[in-house]
Amino acid sequence: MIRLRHVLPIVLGACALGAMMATTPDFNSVFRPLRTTAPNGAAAHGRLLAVRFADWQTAQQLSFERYGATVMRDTQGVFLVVEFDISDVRESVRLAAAWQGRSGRRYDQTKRVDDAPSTVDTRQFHPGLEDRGRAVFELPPDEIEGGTLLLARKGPNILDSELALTPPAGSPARHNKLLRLEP
Amino acid sequence: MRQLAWLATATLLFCTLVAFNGWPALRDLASNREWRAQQVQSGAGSLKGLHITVTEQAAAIAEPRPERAAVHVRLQIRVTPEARDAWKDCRVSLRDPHGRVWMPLASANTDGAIKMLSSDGRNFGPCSLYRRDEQAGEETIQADQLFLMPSDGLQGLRLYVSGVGTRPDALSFAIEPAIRRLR
Amino acid sequence: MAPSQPSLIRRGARRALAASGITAAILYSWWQAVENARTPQSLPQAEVGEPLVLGRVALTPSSLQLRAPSPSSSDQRPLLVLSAKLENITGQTQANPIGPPQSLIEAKAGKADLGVPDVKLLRDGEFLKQLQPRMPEEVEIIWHAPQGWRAGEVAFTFFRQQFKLKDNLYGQASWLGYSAAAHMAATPEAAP
Repeated sequence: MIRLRHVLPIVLGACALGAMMATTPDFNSVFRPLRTTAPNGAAAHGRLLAVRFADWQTAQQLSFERYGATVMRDTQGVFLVVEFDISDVRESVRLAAAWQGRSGRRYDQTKRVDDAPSTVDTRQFHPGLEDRGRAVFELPPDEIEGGTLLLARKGPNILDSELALTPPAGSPARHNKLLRLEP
Repeated sequence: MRQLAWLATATLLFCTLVAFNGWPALRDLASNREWRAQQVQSGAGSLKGLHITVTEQAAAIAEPRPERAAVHVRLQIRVTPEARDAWKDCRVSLRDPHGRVWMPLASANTDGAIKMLSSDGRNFGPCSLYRRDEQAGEETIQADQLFLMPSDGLQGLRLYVSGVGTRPDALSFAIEPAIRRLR
Repeated sequence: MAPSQPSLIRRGARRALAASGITAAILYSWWQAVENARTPQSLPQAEVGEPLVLGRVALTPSSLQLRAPSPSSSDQRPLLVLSAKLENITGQTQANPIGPPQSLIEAKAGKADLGVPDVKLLRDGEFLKQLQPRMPEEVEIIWHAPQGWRAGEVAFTFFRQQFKLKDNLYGQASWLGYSAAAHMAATPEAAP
């Protein structure tokens, strides 16, 4: 008869190993940005900066000045223009903005309004200076309500901060037919 | 006693494995951080064959926005081919005693601002070590950097200059810009 | 006295049993090679107006035109323009999915490979930089036809990119290689 004390360590070891294998997070869940979520009105603090949601509005068409000419953009969905306040910056940064819609789809800032004034793709934010940034998204209208604004450092962002800002409940109060983006 | 010896061996091997796997990651991090900065008191210093002098430093505060200051720093750099190979590139940043880091501005307005702040009205461009003259062995180049900072943070600043090939070593110059008030 | 050896047949049978696994593998791979050579490889035909799923995007070709180059452009080769509707079927914004580095559509005019096309967003009249999920866009995919080429049949091959949630190396979600998905032969209409 095999003694229990010879078999037990092996069985326990096998159970421990099985538990570890079953609960090991996979690559996708380990190597991803570290998200800090802030409820509406509060500031989210990341490694390099703190951000607070300021304002939002939607528009059917956008216009802005580019190299002296006026450029118009229209869309089949809707343009969402979000503004946010930046503070407590630790290092000069460029930011990338994305909108995570209600369905979970991720909409990056639209490149169709590159070179528009004050949009987050061209600006740098510096320590000691409070600033306001603006991000423009193009998306279907039903992705706006229940969505989240995501801000992170521009570039590959695997294990760095990602700031998630919750907008006010509902949809933006202001909807414009044509919105002109001013500096 | 034998179990203890095995445990000790296992611990030692584990530590070796961690060090072995972590060493490239640590090397990678060291090539991006400026941990070992040589403090330079006189305004001129050299590191790995590159001789750097801070020739101009000025700050300008515009009355419409008195909380911000534009700081201009001009460097004169004596480059030899050996130094160029050792440094590979050049990165300039400003740090304050609290550890905040400012990177140079790179936008459409920087050219005009540097020309206005410099003593001779010229802009030599950002610090870059690429070979400008095929024949010359040793070259002297100038580099202009513009930083945007809070007006109350101009004390105790240090300018850090380093390259990919020198980090974590860097040169650190004390910066005390003369402040001009612009209307 | 040496122990009697099992008969040749028994020894042979044991060895055959031991080698049965690898024998089966070799025979199977030979048979696969024969099968692949026997059945003609043909790609499904793409139809105008039918959506093609190409991994990240769904492409619905609508028309093919041959246009004269604009008088102000430096390149005076005629333009082969495939109008299509592109929809991003992933959950994230995608950068221009029709190449580079690898074009999802290969076009051959006769023997000449037409290279990587430019993609223009019809809504703006500028190059397509991004596609947002759930927002299909009308685009024009533009190739430069060879100089002096008469309107003839153009052979298009559409490639699909494969997505794996856990790839073989790190178990990381990634978009992998391309494989041919469909074929289309069309003659361009002359542009009005």
